Amino acid sequence: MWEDTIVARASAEGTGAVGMLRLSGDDAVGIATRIITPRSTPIPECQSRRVYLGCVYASDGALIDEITFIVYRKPHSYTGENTVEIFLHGNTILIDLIVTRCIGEGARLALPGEFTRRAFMNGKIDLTQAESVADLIAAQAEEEIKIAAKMLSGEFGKRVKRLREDMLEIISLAEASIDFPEEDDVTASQTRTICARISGIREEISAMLASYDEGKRIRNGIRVTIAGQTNAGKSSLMNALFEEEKSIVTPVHGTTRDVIEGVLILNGVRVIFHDTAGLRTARGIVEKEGVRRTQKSIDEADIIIYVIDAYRTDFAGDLKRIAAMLHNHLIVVLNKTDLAGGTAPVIPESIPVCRISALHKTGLDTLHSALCREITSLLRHTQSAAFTVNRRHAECLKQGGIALKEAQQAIDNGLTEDFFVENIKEAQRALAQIVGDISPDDVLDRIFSQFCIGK
Amino acid sequence: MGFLYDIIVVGAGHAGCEAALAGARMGFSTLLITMNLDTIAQMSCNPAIGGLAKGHLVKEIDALGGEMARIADLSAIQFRMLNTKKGPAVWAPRVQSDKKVYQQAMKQVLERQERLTVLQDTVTDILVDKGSVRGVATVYQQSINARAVIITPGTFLNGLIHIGLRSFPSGRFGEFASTHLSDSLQKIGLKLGRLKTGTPARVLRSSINFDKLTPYPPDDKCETFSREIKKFPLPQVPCYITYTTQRTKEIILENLHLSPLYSGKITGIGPRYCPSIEDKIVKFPDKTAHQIFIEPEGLSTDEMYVNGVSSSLPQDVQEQIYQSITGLENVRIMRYAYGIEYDFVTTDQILPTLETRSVGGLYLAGQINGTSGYEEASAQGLIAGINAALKIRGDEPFILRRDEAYIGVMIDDLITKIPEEPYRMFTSRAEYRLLLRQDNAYQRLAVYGNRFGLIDDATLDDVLRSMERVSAEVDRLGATAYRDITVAGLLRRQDWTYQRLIEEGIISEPSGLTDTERFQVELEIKYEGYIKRQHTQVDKMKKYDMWNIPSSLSYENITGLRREAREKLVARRPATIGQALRIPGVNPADVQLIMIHTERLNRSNTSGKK
Repeated sequence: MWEDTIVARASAEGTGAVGMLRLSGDDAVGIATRIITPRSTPIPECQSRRVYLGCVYASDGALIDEITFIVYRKPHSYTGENTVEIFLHGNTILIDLIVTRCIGEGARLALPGEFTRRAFMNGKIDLTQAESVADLIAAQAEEEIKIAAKMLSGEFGKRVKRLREDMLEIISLAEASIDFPEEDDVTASQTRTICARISGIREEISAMLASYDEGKRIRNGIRVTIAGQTNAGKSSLMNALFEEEKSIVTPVHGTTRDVIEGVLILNGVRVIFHDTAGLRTARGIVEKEGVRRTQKSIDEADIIIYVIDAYRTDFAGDLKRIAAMLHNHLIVVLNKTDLAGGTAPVIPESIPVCRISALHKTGLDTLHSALCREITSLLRHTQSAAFTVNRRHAECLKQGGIALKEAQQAIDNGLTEDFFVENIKEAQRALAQIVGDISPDDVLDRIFSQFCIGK
Repeated sequence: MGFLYDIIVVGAGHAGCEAALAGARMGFSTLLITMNLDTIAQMSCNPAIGGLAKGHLVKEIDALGGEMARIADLSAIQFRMLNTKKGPAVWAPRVQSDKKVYQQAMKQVLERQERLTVLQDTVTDILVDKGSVRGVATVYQQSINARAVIITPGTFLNGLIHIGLRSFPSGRFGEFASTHLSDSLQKIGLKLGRLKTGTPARVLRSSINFDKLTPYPPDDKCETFSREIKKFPLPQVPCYITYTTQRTKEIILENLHLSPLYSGKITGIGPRYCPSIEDKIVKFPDKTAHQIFIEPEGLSTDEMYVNGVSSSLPQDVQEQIYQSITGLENVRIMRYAYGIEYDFVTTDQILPTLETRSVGGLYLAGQINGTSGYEEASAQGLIAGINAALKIRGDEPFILRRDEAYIGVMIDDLITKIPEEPYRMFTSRAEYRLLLRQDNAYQRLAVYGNRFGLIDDATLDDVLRSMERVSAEVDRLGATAYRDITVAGLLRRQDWTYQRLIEEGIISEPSGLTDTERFQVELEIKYEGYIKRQHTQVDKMKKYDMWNIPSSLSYENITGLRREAREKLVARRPATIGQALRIPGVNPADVQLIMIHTERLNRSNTSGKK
């Protein structure tokens, strides 16, 4: 438990020029080898205490960041264990992503003060400093307790309490059937009830995790991508929204070859707009690259504004693209309505449609309210619950969710309570940091209050 | 000062018998003192041994060289394996016992044990000198000296029986309580708490209308508890099931004011897993009928035990209650139900060896440590006896870990949490439950039994060879290919069994494997994932369980410990980091601090020596 490999951000919270995270433990070098693609020397062969270049990719292969790193081999490190320090751009999201990668490869999020504690245990810190090490741990732990206490008040606390109740309930049902098989109260199999309740908990966990993603959205802004065919007026719309010449607006098709950004505050949330190159079969290398970036921007968008030139008559290409975006948060904008005369395109009813003229700045208020509605819907978990979970909690929730899924698989495979309850208990251990521990005594208390035990 | 005995055991109940036998068998002259030779190893309550988690304890006692399993086998009159619909780790053997046979068999073993003296007397005082025990005083002798004393008084420690609103000092119904001993324990500085338990009435067999009851037959296939006994010598007989009625409920509700519990007369806390019938009716008002088991007390008596109807209401109300039960309309009560309160020593005062922290050589076992149950008591008696002998020998103490045995779980629970109700073993208390099976008790523990001289070399050899056979067969199945997987992989599938593999000719008949060994091969393969996972957890925890906290560590001086954690740690004085981790209210950050201060102490000690 305390000798495994731990990871944590080592630079201060918030965005800075450089971020740093530290991996320490027997498998530190192994984990680094699995997540870092070095520019030159393979990591196991890297010299200690020298700076190397590399890249970290997400598990799906997308680049997270270019980094530098230093390998320290035990006992010549701060903790006295194998350690890898990774330096990257000081963006909270990037640091988070790399921490997640490390956890995925077997590291554990460090306890408050744990690096220092290990340093002391390994004789790296002098006896005379022991008191200050203890103080540091105490202070950091206290800080975490304060943060947790703050989170636990209010709506988040209620949900956590409910989650704990549910966990206790399913463990008790399973344990009752194991420990009291002869009691007439308990004899009926509870497996189906347990399975249904696990589903309920998994949904709750997903909702809480969604609020974590939303929390990230609030911190980092919501991405809105403006897409459409060339010359539909995307850049004009961008300009109208920002009332300045952010995109280069000309009547020539395909002017915007790169992605252009602008930030607005809507509903109190940072909204980052991306203007993109028009979607058409690209000619030339530059335009091809523009289209590729557009597609990437669409894929990463929280909300897509799809702009259609209403002055045209053939909408087949637009409708096809819209059909492919139906699962996204999508708003269709019919531009150039001041010029439009012919038949309007038939847009599926579920999609909000705004009729505007970007040039004359008319209809922008309907687009504005449509955007606000989509933002509200995106952040519905956060707003209904009024909370966001932090990094450590999100990690616990994820692990808990996985263990519960395994419990359901075990039930499906016909395993009995004594086995699948182990998966549930694993979920409980994962969630213990959030919901508090559930002890065998809690379980027995619940069993005795619920069943008439004692023949 | 010369010692008359090496070890004195006070009390000849289930704990006392095991303690005395272990001491004598390990080579020490032992004196067992009981208030009454005719009630040695008396089953004060249920005439049964084993059941959920308790069956595991009996197997473990056998594997360590204790006596309970053998005596249970010799007196068994109904065997059942409980919980077979679940996985094999929670299967639980249970027998009804013939009470008199049990007592006589145990008494004879004691009588024939070399180096063991059994004496009828009453201990009135524990003699202590300079923090170490020196012997005991009894009603008839001012002083009997010994190097170690093991106290196992059961409910006799200041026992107070309640029937209705009447109460009177008594150890069991009709027997004297031991009040001097309580005083003596307090005098030597031990803090006492109070617990409560109860027992139902015994009724006359011929007054029961069996036509209205459902027979509950023994299993067809019997398995003995002990390795030594292959077959139960006594005939197997049925028990019976019946139910309470609406009338039962009415009588109880009408007479609740006569209950010492509900009138507030009893202050001790009773076991929730074994509630009185009044508790069941009051706490579960929606339940229309409560299940009752009727169990024979023996083959040579017509007394029947009415399992599930313990009560402390007055006798006349008890008669009405019992007669309201289906089939018991004309029942005649031979012994009335009663509740009993008794003293126990709060468990923050004992070490994992069951020795008291404050008095060297003084050991406690059984209900005095807040537990309930014959099996729990026997297991503690055995551990106390072994540790007393080891201490006299000057050897390392014997402490079982939580991953080794239910016994280890129980004792660790006791020293990390003071029981708030009589502590009973449940499988849910064992976090490594899948590893602690009743069928592998010998594999887990025989090596210890052998080390102490309680298990002979031939038996240990058998066990080790059997383990080799099982692991060789597991290897064979893992190495034999079947299509694109191994035979082991095939066996892991839901609808495959070991037997089917043999029947379909996929593997050859294994040579020389017993039924138990085949069973072990199958489950080691089938549940490999879960078993491995638990082993991983054990490996992680082991280190912390072996990481000692020096007794000189002062929690008062650790800044940064949360107040709740500090209070718990001061009270419980965990011996290891592992124990500290298991104390409710102590969190990982607190434990990190303890680790640092422990390390600090260790370093300053070593530098001091230089």
